[in-house]
Amino acid sequence: MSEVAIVVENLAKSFRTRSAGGLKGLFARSATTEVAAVRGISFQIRPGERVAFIGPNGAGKSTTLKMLTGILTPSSGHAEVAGFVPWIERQKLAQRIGILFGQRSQLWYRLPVRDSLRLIARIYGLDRDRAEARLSKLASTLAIGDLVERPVAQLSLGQRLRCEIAAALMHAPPILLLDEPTIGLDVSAKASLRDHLIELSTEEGTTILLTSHDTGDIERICERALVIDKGLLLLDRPLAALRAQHLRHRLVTLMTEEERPALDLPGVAVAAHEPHRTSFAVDLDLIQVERVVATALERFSVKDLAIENPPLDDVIRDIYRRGEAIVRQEVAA
Amino acid sequence: MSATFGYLAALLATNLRAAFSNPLQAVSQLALMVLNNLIFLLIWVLYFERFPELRGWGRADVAMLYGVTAFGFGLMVALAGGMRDLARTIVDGSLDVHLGRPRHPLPSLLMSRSVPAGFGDVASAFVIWLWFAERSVSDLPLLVLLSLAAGAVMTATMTAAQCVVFWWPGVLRLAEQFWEVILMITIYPQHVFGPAIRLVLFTVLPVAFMSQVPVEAIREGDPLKMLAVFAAAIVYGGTAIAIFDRGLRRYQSGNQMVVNR
Amino acid sequence: MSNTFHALAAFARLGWRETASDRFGLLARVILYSLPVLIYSAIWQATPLAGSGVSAEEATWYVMATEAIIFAPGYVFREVEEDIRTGAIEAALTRPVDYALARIAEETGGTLLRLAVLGTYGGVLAWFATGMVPFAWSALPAVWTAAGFGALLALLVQVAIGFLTVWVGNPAPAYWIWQKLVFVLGGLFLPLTLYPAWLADIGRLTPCAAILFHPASLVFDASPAAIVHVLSWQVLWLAAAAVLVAAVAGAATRRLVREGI
Repeated sequence: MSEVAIVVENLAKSFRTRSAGGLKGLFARSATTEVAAVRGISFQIRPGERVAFIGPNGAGKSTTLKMLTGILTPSSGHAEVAGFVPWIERQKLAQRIGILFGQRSQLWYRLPVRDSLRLIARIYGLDRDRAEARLSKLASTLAIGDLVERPVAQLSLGQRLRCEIAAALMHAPPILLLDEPTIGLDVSAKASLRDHLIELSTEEGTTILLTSHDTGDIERICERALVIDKGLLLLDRPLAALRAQHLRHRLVTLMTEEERPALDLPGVAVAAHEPHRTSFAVDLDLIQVERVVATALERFSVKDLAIENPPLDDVIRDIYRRGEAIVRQEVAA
Repeated sequence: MSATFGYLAALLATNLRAAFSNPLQAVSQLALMVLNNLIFLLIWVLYFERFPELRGWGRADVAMLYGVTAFGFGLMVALAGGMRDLARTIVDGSLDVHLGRPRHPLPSLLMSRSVPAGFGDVASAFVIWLWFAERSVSDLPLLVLLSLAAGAVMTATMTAAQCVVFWWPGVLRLAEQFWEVILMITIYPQHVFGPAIRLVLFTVLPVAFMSQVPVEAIREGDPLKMLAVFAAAIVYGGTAIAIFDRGLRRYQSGNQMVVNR
Repeated sequence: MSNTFHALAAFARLGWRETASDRFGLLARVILYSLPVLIYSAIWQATPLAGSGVSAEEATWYVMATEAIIFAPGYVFREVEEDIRTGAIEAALTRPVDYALARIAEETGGTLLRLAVLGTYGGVLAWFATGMVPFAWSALPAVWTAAGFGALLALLVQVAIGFLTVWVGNPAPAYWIWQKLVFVLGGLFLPLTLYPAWLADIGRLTPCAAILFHPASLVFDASPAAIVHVLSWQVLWLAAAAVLVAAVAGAATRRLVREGI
């Protein structure tokens, strides 16, 4: 494989939207407006890299991903994935990429998972022996050995997603594209999914590009983050740098016997409060989360607690505020 | 009482606004439904071109029957389109939303949406009666009245049948298709059947009151048959409500539901 | 090439298996199918057929055949519509096998299973009801083939209608109109031979007749000449329908990759 897995140069996409859809659009010449979803973004991804493509809803993540798979033709710009121009050579590219849309299933609802996986192997031209070998390997890596005999209808969301990933990887593609893979998953299912993805990419050298609007997703899986907002690339840097600069605080939420617990520690401020439930913003430059939690446990009778990353909106605001965005804010606004 | 009517009127108005939120699309669906019904009726026009009669019935009688069904069914889905979702609503638990309101849940369940194509059925009923069935305008009030009662029997039957999922949620998919069964029998003349089937159609599956008896009542000018249709509307309506209430008690006693897709 | 073929064969097998696993769906289909067969044969019993050239027995077999062909594909257009609405088609477009071909293959698997079930059930039913089989046993493979071709042709047109979702949002009205045209011009209940000559001549030339009348007419005449005639008409229309689906699917896909969903 070449030096780059994915090249994107000035990629842009705008949609024409009509004021009224359906039959009306056939009869009436209603006004159309151009909506720019992606406004000229560029980046490169090396083979084996794990990259997070993050941004709030409507930022242009999915549109970009769709252009990279050939499902959408860009308005302008250029891209190559595994050496193919996606929208020109969609079906050839298909052999080289695996795709998972977090909210869509490629498995047959009523049939055992194994049946679907066998069919997908057929679609990609795997013969029986290779298909079975691949299936048993994926079954052990993704820990779905005992799930594949069951119909999809009987699986939990987390179990189903692991099977969906197996489906996307049946043909051992060098590039895996995941669109919001963790949406709707609970914390433990998310963690297990992340572990499996990391194992796969280190074992097979798979390039991973995943989109998410959850900063938590990127922390475990990815080495590099592309932050996109309003169709423009804001930031492209290693995750360690992003973490050091923009993920410098956490939200610690305490459920306590006390109605209104107070913490007078440096770098800790009340972010939200309702009786018996208080959220503190913790500035990691000034204090460690561990100390905050330890102090809280010592002083209050804590029934439950949660530690969260800052929401993505805050991160993006922070990027703008620090003037670090690749693009100018007035362009984005 | 008047509060109830106000509530139902508000429900209906909201549904109609939703159904006609894209008016051109709604109206074209309505018009296509009229066309759809008229093309189907051509089968009977062709039949009576070839054969003089079907056990005493001619083209006009079959057309009148088709019109009665179109009016009753059309009005039902136009006003109470939630009818077709009833069984699913019960099984998937969305019934709870309706139970949380300070009203009997049945009206709001049935009237949870409006299907604009239903108005197309109602419109085609008039075209069919006046044109294919050769009735005069003065016949229309009686036809409308009888078709309303027929539609009530239809609504009651479909409601009662879908309530089976209160007891046996596994048959959801069968219950969901039940209205198609009813509709399929209603649009054909029933006097061609033998006595055993006719007995069923007058009792457990009261399809006879949804089209056959109203048409016979008008053909023969028989006031007894007219009364029978109105009586059926009351009896089957009451039965359906009773069955629904029994099911509801079972539902509220916390019986576990199994979703079976 | 052979890869694609193997993949499509796998799709067809999967469609067959998924249909087989849905017991309730199959049962519902059998019940729904029983109704028109029952109704139409009752109507034929009551029809003064003398001198029409068609016997009540043949007419019963005819209706058994047309209804089995109509019921076999089900509502395939809704599957395509749903794939487009939910965006599932996007995932399918990233595969090395064409979406339309895959969808057709999968639905063919399900359709052929339903045809086998309904045809066998209907055949046995008609045999009991009439006490006769209207063709020689040796013609049976040809009769099945013709029925299969008819169902397949109906399926292809439905897939094309499903793709209309991309432009009109809701393809159902287009489907209902098409379905009624098939009923009338294809001779769902009344064989074309009983139509006025001019209309019968037009009907025979349409794809509607290739779906229903041509294959079902083998109950009147299953001579080798008739079989060749029926199958050649069907092959012709299958080819035309394939071109139609390819054109519509191609245009729809081009629009999807340009405009998104």
